[in-house]
Amino acid sequence: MWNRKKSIYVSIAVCWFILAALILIAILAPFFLKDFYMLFGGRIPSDHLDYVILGCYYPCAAFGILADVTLLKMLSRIEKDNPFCKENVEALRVISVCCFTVGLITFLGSFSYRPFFFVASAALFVGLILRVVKNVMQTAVEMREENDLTI
Amino acid sequence: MIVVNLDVMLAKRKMSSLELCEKIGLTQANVSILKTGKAKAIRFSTLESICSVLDCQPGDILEFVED
Repeated sequence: MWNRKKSIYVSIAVCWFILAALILIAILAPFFLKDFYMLFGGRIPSDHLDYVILGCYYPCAAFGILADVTLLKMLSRIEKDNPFCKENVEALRVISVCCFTVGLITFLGSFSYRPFFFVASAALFVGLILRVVKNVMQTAVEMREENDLTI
Repeated sequence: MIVVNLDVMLAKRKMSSLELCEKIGLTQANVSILKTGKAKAIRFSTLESICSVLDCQPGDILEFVED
């Protein structure tokens, strides 16, 4: 039967899958870039675009890995029945900053490769949502602390 | 700030913390939080139980001190 623990395990599995995908794509990206252009653009653009896309992907992947590892740590704390703690507030802040940074990098990249604009919009929006969730979590932690210290 | 004088009252009544815990149904950890001044709030029901067991007034347990 489906329960909360299983849901957490699925989230952990997805996090590991994304982490593996980020690393794999980072290794294989230079070899499959031409196929990527054919898939999304239908033609092979100038060589300078290679540098733009790879130059954007690698820093974004680094921040993506940082966000993913932070998510894994957060999930492990949730698994231990400790979701409302200061560490998770900090983790949400880190993930939010990672999203904003990815948004900024892809926004700059969008001047050379326009589809990046959509990635930038999505990343900035997710970063904003996470920031609001962080604020809610921070309030929840303060309320829990006050409740724990009410005798 | 509010100072909790539970230690003083316990000493006056010659009662141990453990005995108080058992009589009012609080855990030792919570009584310790009260005694060490870490508590952020106290429920009326808890205060009532403590006053009843120690036969005192809330003012005997809680005291306002200028910072």
